[in-house]
Amino acid sequence: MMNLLNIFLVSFYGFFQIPMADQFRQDGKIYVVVGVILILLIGFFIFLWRTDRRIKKLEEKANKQG
Amino acid sequence: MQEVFELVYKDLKTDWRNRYPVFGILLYLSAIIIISYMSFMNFIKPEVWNALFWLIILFTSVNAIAKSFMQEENRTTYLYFVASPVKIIAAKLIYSNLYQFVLILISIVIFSLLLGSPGNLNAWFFVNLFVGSIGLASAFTMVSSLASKTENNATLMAILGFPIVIPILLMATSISKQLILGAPASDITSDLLTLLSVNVIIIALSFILFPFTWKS
Amino acid sequence: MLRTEWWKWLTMALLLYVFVGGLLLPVPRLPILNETIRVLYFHVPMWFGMIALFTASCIQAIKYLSKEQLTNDIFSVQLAEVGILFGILGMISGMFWANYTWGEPWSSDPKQNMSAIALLIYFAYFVLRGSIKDEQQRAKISAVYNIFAFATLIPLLFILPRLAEDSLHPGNGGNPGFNAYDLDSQMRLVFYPAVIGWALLGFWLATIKIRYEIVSEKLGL
Repeated sequence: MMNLLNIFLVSFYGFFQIPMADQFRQDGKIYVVVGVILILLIGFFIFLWRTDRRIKKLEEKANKQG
Repeated sequence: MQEVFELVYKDLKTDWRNRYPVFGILLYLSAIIIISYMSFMNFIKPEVWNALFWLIILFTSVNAIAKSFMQEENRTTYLYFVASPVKIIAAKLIYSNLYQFVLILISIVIFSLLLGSPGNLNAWFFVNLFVGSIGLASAFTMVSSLASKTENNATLMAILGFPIVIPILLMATSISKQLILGAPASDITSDLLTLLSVNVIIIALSFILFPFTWKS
Repeated sequence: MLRTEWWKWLTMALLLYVFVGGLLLPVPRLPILNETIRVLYFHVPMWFGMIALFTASCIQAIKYLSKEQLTNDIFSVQLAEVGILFGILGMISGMFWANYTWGEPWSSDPKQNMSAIALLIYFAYFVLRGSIKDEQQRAKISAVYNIFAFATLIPLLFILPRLAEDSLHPGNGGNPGFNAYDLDSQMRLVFYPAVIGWALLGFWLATIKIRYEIVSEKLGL
């Protein structure tokens, strides 16, 4: 259904030749971009998660003291 | 109510006794009007006239009302025991609105004397001027009560106050521009109501929030 | 709420989905925008995130005034700080995007103006805090300013679009080429999760800062 809609849109707008990165996607290079972004994002999330942990430990320590 | 009027009267008397602040503001007002007259002498259009006029009102207002709480510093402890915060803010709002209104009347006289009148200054223009000035004066009164608690209050008055009065200023300027360009009253009523409701929000919040700043 | 885990997992899952889906799922073919329409998933949520964080900051300020607990003040400040971060990032990314699609970085658009005013207000908030020494007094005065300023921000939501007759953002006139995505159900599949995910990320960052402040207070750092 999605593809049908897409084909329809492409042929409909074909008259105006609205350029999109179609070739780029067909070559599969978009997956390289997605891969790089995923690596970075997961890296940042791990970092954030570890910071969260560290603060939790500090909180526990503070609660023991207090 | 009696107490509120006594507080207003007290402010009036203080200003009457040491006239320098009032004369200072009047001089400030004339100075910016003369400067804008010299810079805009030959190419002033009605839209520019309007924007300039409201900017002058804004700057006069922020300077005039800044003093409303800052002069209280020595007397605050006394007032603290005598009157309730709601009465104090009511008195201050009334007084700064009166003060602002007198200043605006003076400034429109000098302003149109030098820069001319842009055309349609009908009754609605003055209604809008009145409503807008209530908003400006009330917002700056509240901001002045906050700024007086800080160390560098003159700068803070401007940076705290300007973002807050943007809605009022935008509405008032746009209404008065429409009126100057000859729009009928029916075009501006909904905008005027919006402006009025912004004023209501600001005044209501002043009454709610002022007791917290006063107590501290 | 500060220490529960599930919504942090949700944040990560949503954002991972947004980044993958935002790049791979089909988008409408529109002139001028072309592929840059995908920026919508990353730039617009900044604006929503900023508003959400500032709202939360204002709510904490109200709580502070009613309870006078310094914790609420810490909440309020840190939420506002992350809100400012979102506002600045959204503004810079928006100007960058607008330069290529609308032809100029700043075009007096209501949402642009609104975020500029909001940033002015919260910068002023921090200057105000900086100029009061006493802790209780600082908390109280800045809470009052926070509420007062936030309340005047709300009417702007209605005023600004009315004044700008030819807004470039969709939904308030103008720019017909751009209005199409309003109705595009395809984009909603990513856009709504993006708004929620980015806002949650903002709250996560804020909670880390808040907990840090509270702990360092406790340990006397």
